[in-house]
Amino acid sequence: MNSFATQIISSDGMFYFGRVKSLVVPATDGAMGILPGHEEMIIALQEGILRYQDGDDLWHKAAIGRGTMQVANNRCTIVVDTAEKPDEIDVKRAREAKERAEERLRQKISDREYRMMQAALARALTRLKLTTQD
Amino acid sequence: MAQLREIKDRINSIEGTQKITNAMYMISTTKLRHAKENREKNTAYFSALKNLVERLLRHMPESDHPYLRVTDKPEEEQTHGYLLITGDKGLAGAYNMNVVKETERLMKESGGHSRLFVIGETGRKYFENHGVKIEPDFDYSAQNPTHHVGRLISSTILDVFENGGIDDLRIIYTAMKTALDTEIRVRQILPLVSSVEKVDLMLAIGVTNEEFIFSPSPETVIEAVVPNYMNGYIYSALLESFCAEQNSRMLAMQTATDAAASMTRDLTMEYNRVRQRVITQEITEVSAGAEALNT
Repeated sequence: MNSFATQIISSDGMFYFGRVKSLVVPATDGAMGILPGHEEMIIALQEGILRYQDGDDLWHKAAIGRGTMQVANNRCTIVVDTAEKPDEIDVKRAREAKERAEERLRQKISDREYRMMQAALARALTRLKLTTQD
Repeated sequence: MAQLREIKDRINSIEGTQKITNAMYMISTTKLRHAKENREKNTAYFSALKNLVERLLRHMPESDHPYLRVTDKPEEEQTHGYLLITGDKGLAGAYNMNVVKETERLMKESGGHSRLFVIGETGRKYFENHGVKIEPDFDYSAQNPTHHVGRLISSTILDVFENGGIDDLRIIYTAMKTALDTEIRVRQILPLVSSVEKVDLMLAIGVTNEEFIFSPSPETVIEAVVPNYMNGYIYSALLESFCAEQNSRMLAMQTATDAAASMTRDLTMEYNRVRQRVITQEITEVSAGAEALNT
């Protein structure tokens, strides 16, 4: 039992389906690692970088949006609104989105809009972080 | 002769309309194909999201979180929120009307006050014409749903909910039942209630409850999951509805085109009959005239 089945489902389809040896997800209170045989849990995920080690020991990265992760019976189900591989990310668009969000955050806006813009900024930053590192 | 001209005019006008309905049929076929593709991609997410929330609710310890608490106000003081998804344009058969009628039925049934969040131009027009108050500044289009629109809608409504503007929220949309058939679905999103009876399920299966950890706490999980669930649900419902709208329009336009074809056929038949009658009459007159000259 050195691996566990993982499903990563985003709103535009099944992002990943297969066995994973190790998984690191962005939880609301920091990164969290999941190894085989993890105890049952449900946690909320926030915008960030998800990493997983597949059956061939290769690490993969993805930028994910908000969502939920559930671990049960050595099976892991991740449901997120967006999930992208580094090469799927449009850097130009992400940069524009970041600037737009920052600009809006500087202005006087309602609480609701503030929260939305903060989320938009977090998404843009995650995308940029994933494409610029390594 | 006047009658001939009239029939010809009618045939021309029907053929003109037929060209339009046929074009609209073609357009909605293409749009439907795109909408179906998007919906197909989203299906896994939508069902996973629903399963996950069901599971979450099943294992959730008793909680008094606002997202889960069912209001204890008396019925007549409650304000029900309805989010209904209609199309931006008509000419889609009964598509828009079904959603509107279902909403009216729910409103009548539940008593209390209602607040209507209407997506799509036709729904808004209908309620405006019937003097029903709908939420102002809630003018989202049903065309080409995106995540962004889903987020905007859900954050607007959550805001109203958190400020006590509504006590619950139901979403009314049209789903594709089969590849050709559509149906109206109603689902309560706020407060989040399980669609499966908690106790029954446990007894039926006879399993011991798996213990789930909620990290950092059940409340924070709910706090994060509910808005996300709403975004996802609304986005998926928009996709479903858009697909259903195109499907209804395609069928309506196909029926219209077929009806136009059969009308043209009938009219052409009548036209020929009248034409022949006129000719026969002329011949009779001519031969009668010749007859008269001969005698």
